[in-house]
Amino acid sequence: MKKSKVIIAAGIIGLSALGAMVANHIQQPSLPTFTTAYAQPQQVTLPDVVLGNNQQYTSTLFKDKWSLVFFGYASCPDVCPTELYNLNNVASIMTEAGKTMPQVVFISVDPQRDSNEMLTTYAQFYNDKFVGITGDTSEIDKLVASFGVIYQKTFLANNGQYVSVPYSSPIPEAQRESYLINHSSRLYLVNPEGQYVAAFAPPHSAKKIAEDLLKL
Amino acid sequence: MQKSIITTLIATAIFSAAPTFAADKTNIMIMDAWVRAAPPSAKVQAAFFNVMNHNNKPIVITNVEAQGFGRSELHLSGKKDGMMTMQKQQQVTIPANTIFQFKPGGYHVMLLEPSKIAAPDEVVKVSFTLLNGEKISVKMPVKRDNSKTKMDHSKMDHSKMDHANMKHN
Repeated sequence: MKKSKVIIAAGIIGLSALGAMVANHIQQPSLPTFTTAYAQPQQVTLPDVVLGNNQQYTSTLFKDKWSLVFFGYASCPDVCPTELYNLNNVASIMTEAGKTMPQVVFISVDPQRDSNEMLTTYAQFYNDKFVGITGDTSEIDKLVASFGVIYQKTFLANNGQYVSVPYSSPIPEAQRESYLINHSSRLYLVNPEGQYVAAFAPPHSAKKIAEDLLKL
Repeated sequence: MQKSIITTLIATAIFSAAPTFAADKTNIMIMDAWVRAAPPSAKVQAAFFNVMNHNNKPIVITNVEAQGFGRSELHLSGKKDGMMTMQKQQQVTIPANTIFQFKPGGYHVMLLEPSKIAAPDEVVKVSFTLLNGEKISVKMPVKRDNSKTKMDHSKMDHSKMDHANMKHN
């Protein structure tokens, strides 16, 4: 009697686990097992924000194609160019393998200094298919929150120490053009439904990123 | 005479991987120097190189200037609080008898306020001031990639083999 209850309980647990697996599978039909990318436990549906000069909605930007999203700024001399050159190497590997390279979207978190025109030529310098785009900080902040991106303005104060403040905070007049930005440097994978599904943590190797992208 | 030898060395360096500069006072060599090409719309560029300190004592770089740029700074990229950060360095110390790398993601010279972004195949003259007051100049070619990235290219061939296996997934 007791034994049968245990069996029934085990059966229920087993069935619900199976159900969860099926549900999970239905939820993520197209996600392979990645080697280095961190798959999100669940796809994150991104807010539909407005970016670019044509007031483009991100739902349109991300629709029907895989995208790799990186947040940075054009006055960044080291990390962002390194990333964009690296992504161009990823594109070469994908092309050589006869696969479609996801759309690369470089989003500037620095609309005070970066215009959409300059970001377009900036991104295309690295690869003529790359997209460079920005928008109002209020819009960008909705997007970064979904990806878990953090960024802040940082500048050298008179005492020789770096001071970091939220991007929209007022800073000394002399620093208005020369501030730097601390920013997350993960690379995000967005699926053709416009959902954030996985992230690549730095340091980024073109070969390893391509390995995972080739599984898509 | 000495000067012409140095000039020859500099000229050679532009066309080969030979030492870019050899000073007779402080025994320092700056090798594999390059300025990374940037989009014409960029506002900054970065210079990378290796410093060889053949002395038994450290060398301290205190200042840097670059032709065609209003301002140049010694910088260090790093990670802090989950973010990539960059901090200006007042000086950089090259330990005795070492090769010290200025490379992407680490130490670099940040070139600011360009009169015009330096294009591939152009050369940027970068001058370093040492703590003892000595100055050394290096002509750095502008490149999209350095030789190390070319090595990455050779790795790409290996990766192709891996990818063939992965198609079974």
